[in-house]
Amino acid sequence: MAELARALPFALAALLAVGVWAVGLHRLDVFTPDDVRAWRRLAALRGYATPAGRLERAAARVPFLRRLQDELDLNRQLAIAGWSESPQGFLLRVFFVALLAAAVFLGLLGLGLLENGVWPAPPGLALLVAVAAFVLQISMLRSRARTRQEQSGQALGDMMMLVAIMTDGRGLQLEDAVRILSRCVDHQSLQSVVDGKGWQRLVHRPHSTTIELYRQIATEFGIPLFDLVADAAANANVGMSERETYTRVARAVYQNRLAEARFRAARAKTLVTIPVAMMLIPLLILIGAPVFATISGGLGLG
Amino acid sequence: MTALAVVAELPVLLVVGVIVALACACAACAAILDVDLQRLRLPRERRIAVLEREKDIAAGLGWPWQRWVMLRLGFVALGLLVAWFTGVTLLWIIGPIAGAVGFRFALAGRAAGRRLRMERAFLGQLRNLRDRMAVSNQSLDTALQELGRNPGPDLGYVLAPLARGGSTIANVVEMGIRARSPIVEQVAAVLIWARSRSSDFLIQTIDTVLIPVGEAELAIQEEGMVTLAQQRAVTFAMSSLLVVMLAIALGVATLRAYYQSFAGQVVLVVVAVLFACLVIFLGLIVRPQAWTRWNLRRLAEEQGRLGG
Repeated sequence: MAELARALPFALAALLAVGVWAVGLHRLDVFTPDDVRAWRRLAALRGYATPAGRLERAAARVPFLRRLQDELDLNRQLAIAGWSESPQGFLLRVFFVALLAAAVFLGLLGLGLLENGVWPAPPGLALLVAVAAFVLQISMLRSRARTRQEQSGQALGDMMMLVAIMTDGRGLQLEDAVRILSRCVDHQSLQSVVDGKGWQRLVHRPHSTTIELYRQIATEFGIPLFDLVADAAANANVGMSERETYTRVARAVYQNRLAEARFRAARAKTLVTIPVAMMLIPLLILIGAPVFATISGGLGLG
Repeated sequence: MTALAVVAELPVLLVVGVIVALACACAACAAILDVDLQRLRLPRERRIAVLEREKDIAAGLGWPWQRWVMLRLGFVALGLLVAWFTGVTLLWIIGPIAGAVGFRFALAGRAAGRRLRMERAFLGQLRNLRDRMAVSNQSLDTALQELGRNPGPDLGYVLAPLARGGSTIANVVEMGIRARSPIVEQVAAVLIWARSRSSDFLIQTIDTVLIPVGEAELAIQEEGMVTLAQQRAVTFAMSSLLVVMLAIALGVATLRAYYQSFAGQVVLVVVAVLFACLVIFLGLIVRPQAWTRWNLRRLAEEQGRLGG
């Protein structure tokens, strides 16, 4: 034990050094050629997709992985979530983490085996751990995508009032007004779509107007409010006052939210009775457990 | 022979070497698979969002942020004190958690109600602003200053920046930041963008946009508050009942002995987990409407960049 205690600081120092080394390499892109780095920077500025690595290309050729990413709609989910990874890269990472989780679990079981001579739990459970880690990562991606969809729609609705002022009073174009305002929201969900050219990941069809672009964003990113704004922009284009048009959109958004809030409140009033009734259970357990223990002890059951 | 004993017998250099080799292999795997280390960190916006929500509650209560933090720490300490007093081991974990979360939960409703009152008063002042500009022919800057000087009981802290001189936009930004309310932030954003337009334009904007939309926002929040108040009342009643029952049980020597035993601790864990799950479930059913929050400083910068 004393030997191990002496070794511990060295081991920690070695781990720290390796960690710093790995992080340094990651940060500095040491093994990446200069021209590749320059290309990546240019591609990011222009919004082009970077070329896939060898592993990603190999993964793209595996039919099972291809089918899986189609089934999970990974490309779309990743674009909406604002993650820069390709679907193949994401799947590889998910598999890697799932296998790592299984390996760590097996390692712990192995320690238990060394300690007691028997497996503390069936080793097959590691497979379940891997599956759980896989499912958890996919559900995290989907949840992030859903949150960003909601946030983008909400921010777009909330900025319509300002858009009305900026387009009518300041003479700004709709697209510019939305882009400027998206930078001023306290999250980046909408900005990453309209200002960071995030839409280029899913919108591939050519478009010549903002209206067309917004309709495509609404379809591809699943944000229906873009459709509403595109309709309003089409009305403004044929001579209707921009302020009135976009103000009407803002009012419609709030009316819609009010209706939803009322619907949710009415539904919640009924649903709330379920957990309220169930709250009696912990109360009964708290009172009943000692009594039950005493009775069962008296009867020789405890 | 235990695993640790086996490892202890090995030479130090071998142990360190194996660890270094394993760590290098992990780093190499991560590099080959292009694992993004940044992804493992909690996103910055989420970390800030958590902090901002806490600050919102403190502002809603009209308390300084430091007092809110100190009181929460105080309740954590109280939870630990209860654990020490009762001698139930498990309360060393449940006590501080209940202290921290319970205190926040208890005051969040009051904070939301107070903020709603402030927002309602703010819409009233917005009507005053409109009347000052339309009927008394005051300029926006003068009307805002007047409002800052007579803010009314609920808006003293929020409207105070308007009373001082200097840049009107900076004062409006400060007002929005102090209020920590989506309605006030939205009005501040409109004032920032519409300020350089004519008074008629602004009056029309207040009439046709700000007041109707502000009232709609308020109605949505009120709708949510009603359901939220129900949920809070139920949770309060049930948790108080649980605490009273537990206190009575711990006051009786035989029952305290049971809850100090292993079986009793398991029962307490089950009760705590079950209750926490039900409260979370209740929270999921009655989820309040989220609002877009504006970064007013950034908005003022963008407005300035486009030429005031």
